[in-house]
Amino acid sequence: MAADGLIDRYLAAFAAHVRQRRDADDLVDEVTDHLLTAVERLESAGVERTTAEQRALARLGEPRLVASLLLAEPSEGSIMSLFFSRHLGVIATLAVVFWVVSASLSYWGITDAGGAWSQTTYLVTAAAITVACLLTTAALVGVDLRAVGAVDAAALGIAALGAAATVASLIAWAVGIWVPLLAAAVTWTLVRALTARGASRPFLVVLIVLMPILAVTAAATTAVGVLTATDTGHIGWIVVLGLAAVVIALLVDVVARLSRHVRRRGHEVVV
Amino acid sequence: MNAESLKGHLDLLVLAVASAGPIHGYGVIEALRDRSDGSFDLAEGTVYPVLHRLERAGLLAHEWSDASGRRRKLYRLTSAGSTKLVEQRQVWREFVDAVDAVLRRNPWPRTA
Repeated sequence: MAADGLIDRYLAAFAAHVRQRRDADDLVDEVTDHLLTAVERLESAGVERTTAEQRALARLGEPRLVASLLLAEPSEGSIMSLFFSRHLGVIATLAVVFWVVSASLSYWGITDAGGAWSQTTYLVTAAAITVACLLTTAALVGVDLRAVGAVDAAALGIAALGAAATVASLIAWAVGIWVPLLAAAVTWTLVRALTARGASRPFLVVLIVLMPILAVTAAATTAVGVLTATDTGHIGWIVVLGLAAVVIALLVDVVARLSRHVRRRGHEVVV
Repeated sequence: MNAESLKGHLDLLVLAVASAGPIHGYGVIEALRDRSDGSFDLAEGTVYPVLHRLERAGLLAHEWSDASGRRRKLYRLTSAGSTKLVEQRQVWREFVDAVDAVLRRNPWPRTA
């Protein structure tokens, strides 16, 4: 293979790793200039072109490593500040807590399990789910902002879906309305994370596949319940459990990544 | 000299190199290597995060120029960077003097 192809492949791999950055083109241009300057220097020292290109690539390091070093460093293309990371971690942790509470309360709040249903348990359940939706929306928007470094159309779309889900979740039994809305916001975020290689691919793919299944099941459950006047509370509870499990998995992954980031940045000494 | 030995000093060295005038990333790497007679031969991919961090801290600024038909990012010291460089130079000299003083005062062999 020609060495030119090697440099092109290197730059393509590097670009893929940094594409979620707003300044991705600038990063690629900077690395391109570095490599070509290195090759020119080596050639002027009498090194043959192919060897010069191979040495330049070897000295810079693997594209994934170079990209990860740059991505770990906030710059004008990223708003990943330590402050922001800590607060996003707190919000995501609170969301996880509220989903655990909501999934548990839902058993008594939206089913007639053991004949223990009461308006009070229903209202408490609805309140917990609403807070969980609100915190999840905030976390999803935060994840999006961290990845892209700016408020873009996708961030606004995710925020709008999450806000609609939060409002709709005030009617907790209507899982056919708020679950699909929140599922759409979560799916959108997961797809962006997949594109940006924000987490492991199999993990994201599994969550992305589960989301539409939950959304469709939720819509069907509510539709059947309303149209046939059947009690579908238990199915609704299972749907809430499923949604809670997926959101918790996503948020725990986010919190784990943020805690590593904060520990690393927190110990860093900057002149 | 390995990269570990430079940890904590690289920011100061990069600021010092940039103080000579606008310079691109490869130029910084080259200057560090040349001015240290090859002692600071760094893994090149590690220098750019330092440049970006210093820029974010307001100690460096950049501008784009054209070099042989391609875009080149040139870093320059800001006034805050100049101030920081002066401070850090002073801190470094005091540190070196202190270490040197300790190393020179060899207590062995004791005569008492």
